[in-house]
Amino acid sequence: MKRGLQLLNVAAMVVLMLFLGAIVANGFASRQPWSLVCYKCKACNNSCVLGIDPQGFVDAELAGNSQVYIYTTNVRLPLAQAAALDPAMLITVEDRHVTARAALDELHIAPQQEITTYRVQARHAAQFCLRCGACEKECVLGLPLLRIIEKLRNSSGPSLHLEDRDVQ
Amino acid sequence: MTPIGIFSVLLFLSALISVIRGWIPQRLVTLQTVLLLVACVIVLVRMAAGPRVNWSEIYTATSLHPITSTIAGFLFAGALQAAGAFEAAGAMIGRLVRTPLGLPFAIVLLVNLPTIFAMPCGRILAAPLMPLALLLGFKVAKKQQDQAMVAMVVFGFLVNAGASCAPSLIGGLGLMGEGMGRFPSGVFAKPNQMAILAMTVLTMAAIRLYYRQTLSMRVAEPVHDDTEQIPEQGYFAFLLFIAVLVIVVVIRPRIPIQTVLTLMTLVVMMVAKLSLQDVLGGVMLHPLSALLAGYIVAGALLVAGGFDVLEAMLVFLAAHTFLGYVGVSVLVIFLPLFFAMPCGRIIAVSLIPGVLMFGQRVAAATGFELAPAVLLGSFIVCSAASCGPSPLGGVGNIGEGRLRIRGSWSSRPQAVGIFLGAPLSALLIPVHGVGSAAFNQHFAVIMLVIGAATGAATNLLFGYKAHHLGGLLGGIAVGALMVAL
Repeated sequence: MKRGLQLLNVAAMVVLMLFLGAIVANGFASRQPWSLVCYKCKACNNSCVLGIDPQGFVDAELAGNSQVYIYTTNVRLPLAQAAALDPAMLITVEDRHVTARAALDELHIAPQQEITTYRVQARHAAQFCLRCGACEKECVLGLPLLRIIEKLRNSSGPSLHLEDRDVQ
Repeated sequence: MTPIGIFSVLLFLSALISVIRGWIPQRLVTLQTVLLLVACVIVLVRMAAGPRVNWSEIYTATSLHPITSTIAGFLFAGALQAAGAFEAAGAMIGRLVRTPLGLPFAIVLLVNLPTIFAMPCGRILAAPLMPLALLLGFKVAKKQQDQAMVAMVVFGFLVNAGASCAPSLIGGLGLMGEGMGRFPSGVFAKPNQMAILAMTVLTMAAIRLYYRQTLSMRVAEPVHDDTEQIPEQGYFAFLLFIAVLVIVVVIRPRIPIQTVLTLMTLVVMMVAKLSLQDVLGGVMLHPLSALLAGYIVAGALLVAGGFDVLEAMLVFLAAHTFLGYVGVSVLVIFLPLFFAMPCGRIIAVSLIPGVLMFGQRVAAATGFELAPAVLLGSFIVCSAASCGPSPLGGVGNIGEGRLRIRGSWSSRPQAVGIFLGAPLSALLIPVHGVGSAAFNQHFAVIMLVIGAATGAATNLLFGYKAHHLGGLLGGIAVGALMVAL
């Protein structure tokens, strides 16, 4: 192997190890190091009446970013509110998934019409969460998922107008 | 579907084919480097062309669990090796072989062991049991004067290990699919176990009947001295391993399997007075780094909309070609095989929403209510198994490394086995039902019959008569254990 290519291959290995290290560091930096042991099996997903994927909260912690998009398939709110929250939020319109902005501008859906969410930012999903704890009970490792949800709720600014929301 | 998405998929596929075909020689640029470069190009093009890149998407495509499972598996395998557990297991197998049950019984049991004790990642058992697979493979190859039988045992075992995360009830890929599809936990486990039994025997058959012509192994038979005294701690370590496996599968403690394996490694180290060097000898970096590189390139594809392109292409094919939704559903089930990633979770998590959507369309078109479940269950077992033939650091690479076979040689026979075996899951899901995962007497009988059939097929493949007692009883025992555990 030529020296240049050898260096390239070694550099690639170093990048991979740094990437792995960054995930582990994020787990500790978020003060939820237990999130590192999540199996990502999504057993928790089955239990949420709002269709939130609680494992997405763990992803958000490991990525160190509360704006990671996670599945939230069963929350209903007016389109205008969805677009105001996050224009890039994915919503379900008939059998398609479009952004809230596209639903307003391109599909010309009335702003007051109720829509169903599909993928929303983790911080918004945490606000929607009912904190019933069903996901924790379902987790095969018994991980304290509500801790992350609480943390995301507290760090995501003013509370959403939850009274406008309805469970499908 | 964006031009960047199309570009990213094409670039990824070109790189993948170039690596598999040897157009990019591994001795110059490693697979990991190629994948990282592809990921870099995709992300740079995406940055140049559109709004800001959400870097977090790349992190979220990564799953630490298979990586840490592999490390824990390697460490435990190292401890077992150094403690003499494999010599002890070899001696026990030697005694078993001298009984009327013979080698077929041991082979059927060993190759299916990962699915019996289904762990959340197949690599957990692939690493510690690989020396046993080699030992058995060489024993049967010597007896039947056929070197290809080593590869048959090793890759039959590895395709089984790769797929075994699908039926695992302690955090496997099946739970992920059931969770995302909102089906009761464990409903796909038994049908998937049966499909994996079929995949295993079909992979061995593919090697025996066709791929043996291209097989070139450069590994010598491990030296095994029957008169050598086996240390007592070897037996202890091996029995501890089996006991803990049974306990974990039966009790399903809420402790990560990595923790269990690490604790067992420490116990074996203390009992056998091993040093850290002894244990570290079993660790291989290649599958780990390839797995990480696979996750990164999957993350880059996610950022660039590559998976959206795949989904859009499938919808287009369904709507505008003679394939229709039913025909495309078949393509969907086997999609993980075409894009064999080092971990089935990568493609599963990206495509399950699309699979469910297709299932609903098929149900509407055909009136077959169970279509989403059938499609999802089969897709899951195919996704899980796809880490076996993946040239990107899949489970099969462990066997190729150990047997010193050309990289990705085992991809094709494994893919054939998966291709022919996965439909069994689709056939059995309606029989099992999707209401509950509780014990089903009718299905238990089916499992025993399929177990016996695969046992008979194994007999034939290894040069015994189909009704040889060893293979038949081995198959029935495998079926019974799958019913019970």
